[in-house]
Amino acid sequence: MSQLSTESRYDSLNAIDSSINKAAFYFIISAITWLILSSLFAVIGGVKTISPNFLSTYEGFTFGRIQAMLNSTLIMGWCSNAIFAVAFWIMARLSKTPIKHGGILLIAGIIWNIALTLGLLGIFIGDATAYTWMEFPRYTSGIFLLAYTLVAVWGIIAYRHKQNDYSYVSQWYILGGLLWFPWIFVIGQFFINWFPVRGVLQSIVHAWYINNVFYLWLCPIALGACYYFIPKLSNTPIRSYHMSSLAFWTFVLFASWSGMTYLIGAPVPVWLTTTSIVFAISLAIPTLIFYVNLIGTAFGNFSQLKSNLALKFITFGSVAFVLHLIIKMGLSVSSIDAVARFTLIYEAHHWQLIYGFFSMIFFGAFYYLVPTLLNHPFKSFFLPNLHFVLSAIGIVFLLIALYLGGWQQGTQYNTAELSFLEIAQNLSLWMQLKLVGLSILFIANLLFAFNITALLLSKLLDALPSFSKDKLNQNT
Amino acid sequence: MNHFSILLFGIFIILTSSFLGLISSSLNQLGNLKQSTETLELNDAGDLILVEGDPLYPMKLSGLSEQGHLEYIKLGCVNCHTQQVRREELGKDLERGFGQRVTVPRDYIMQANVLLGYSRIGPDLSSVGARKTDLNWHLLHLYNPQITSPGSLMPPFPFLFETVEISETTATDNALVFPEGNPYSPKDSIAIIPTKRAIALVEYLLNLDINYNLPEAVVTKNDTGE
Repeated sequence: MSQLSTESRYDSLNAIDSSINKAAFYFIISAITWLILSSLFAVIGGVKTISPNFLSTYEGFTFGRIQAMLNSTLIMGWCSNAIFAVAFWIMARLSKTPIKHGGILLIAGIIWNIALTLGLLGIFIGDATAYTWMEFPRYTSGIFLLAYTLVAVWGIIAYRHKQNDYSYVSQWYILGGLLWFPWIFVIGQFFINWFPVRGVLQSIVHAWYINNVFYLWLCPIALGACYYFIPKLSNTPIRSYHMSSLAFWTFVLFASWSGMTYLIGAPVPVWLTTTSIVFAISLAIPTLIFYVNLIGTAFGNFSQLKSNLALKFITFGSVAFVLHLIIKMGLSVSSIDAVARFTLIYEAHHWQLIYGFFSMIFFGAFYYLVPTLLNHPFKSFFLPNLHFVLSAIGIVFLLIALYLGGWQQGTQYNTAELSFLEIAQNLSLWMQLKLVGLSILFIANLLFAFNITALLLSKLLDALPSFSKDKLNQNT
Repeated sequence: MNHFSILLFGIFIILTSSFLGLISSSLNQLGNLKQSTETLELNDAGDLILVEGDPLYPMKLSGLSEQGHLEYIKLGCVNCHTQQVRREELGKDLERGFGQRVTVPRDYIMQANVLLGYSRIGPDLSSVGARKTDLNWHLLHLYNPQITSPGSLMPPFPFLFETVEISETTATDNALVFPEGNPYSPKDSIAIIPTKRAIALVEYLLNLDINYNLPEAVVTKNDTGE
């Protein structure tokens, strides 16, 4: 089955696209702003691990807070805004419904960004929680929920008549992600921030929260985008599409149950981690299907892959994702875990998911979405292609530095003759390479922002009367 | 049921099942843990009960330690330090002297926030209070880690200290004592005074110690690795 048929009626497509314009651009611009900010924090953090004295006289810039600001702006700033921009547009297109009441979405977006700003300031002055990836202070959670409630209200109003039209697996992923996120968020906030459970139960809820935010919020939406864009851009139906529903159900079930692998060795009941290890290993089934469905299809039409910018990003992301899942399975093996636990390997694994997979998919999606929404193509693909090359090099650099450095850290840790201080000092080469990777990514992200802004500006300039008809004619 | 209802039902079941299976069941198992004496005794009815009059572990944190615990969170120490000791086959935690026994769930029940941590750029701190007992060492280490651990990746926390000119009117009783000839020592006319926050944080660190027995976790290792 192919999703190409959705492309048929251009008039209705234009109507769908223009219906989402205002809200979509708001989310796109917010997402990019938070992306730049988070990669700036990443570079500052990177410098600090090489030279601990850097900015150390300012309490707000101490390493722990920089790390908290990096994590939270990345997930709730960049990822979530990007999801709002892309997910609703794909849903609108696949269900062939123009987005009505986009104003509600816009208000939700504004409230979301207010919560983010407040949360970031909160972390800066020391109100962060003690739980990674959910560091935003307790008082912001209600604002995030309010914003998300508006999104839900909008969803119910906009889709109340479209219940029977869920035939594409893309839609399943996106609907799933949008419905799972508020539950995950509320459970995390409830048991950790509002009515804290006692003792290590906090750590159990925390591991469950992180795991589900990654695998039931970021992953489903990005996978929905993969299943939408890959066949569309490569002009090829998804290879073995009939397997994709099996991949959907097995992936979300196994991934959601695999969260306690974060706690291998921790003071929690052993049956918890063992259960999650079994589910983590079972992820082999969906991983294999993703390989055939996504990578198989994208590489099936190689000439298209070479020439289409968005497809390059999305294929890179799919490869990174399949590798991420294979590494996730590996990390749940106890002999590997005995080396990898508490090392940079876990940092690498998160970067691979958020940057190598999620962000690359959404860069690709933005490069398709923005020109389409503007009805205004890129005049030159040189800079967008450069952005792809820089991002790819940056992420590969970063991952190599962290995986190899982490493995060295782990083996040296288990060599009891080496003092702890020596192990940390032996990391300096890898920390420098990590900083190189992060800096390349920072530059790449600036270039991304430039590319999108330049396209917006050139559209605005073209729209001015003084630029008259002949210029417009070139573009159509 | 139509297609859409099945989809919604599946979406709901997936997350609910993992919530019930992983979180609710652990709440059930661990939710009622209480403090305990180091050993238990049999009563007449054949039940194991607490030994009357023995101290209860884990101990409650003092008010000052509690403040230090909050400082630990505020400064994001959890990003580089863990507070957990794993079983022997999973890593060299015991051999490195990070604790004299494996940590168990009961160790954490008195803490407002559990700081198991996820990364060991810095060493584990579950028993740092037993390893490093000197108040001045901890203060120097926070003021600038390079004084006590040259080459450390830990950032200095100078904002937890006040720099004062020594004169007849200033009280410098609790000023930091620097090792002789250390390149990071201040000038002779300057004293470095820890703020309340630094004192609280160090008090917390000094009280981090799991080298007590619990019925389910008995101290086995007696040599410290460092």
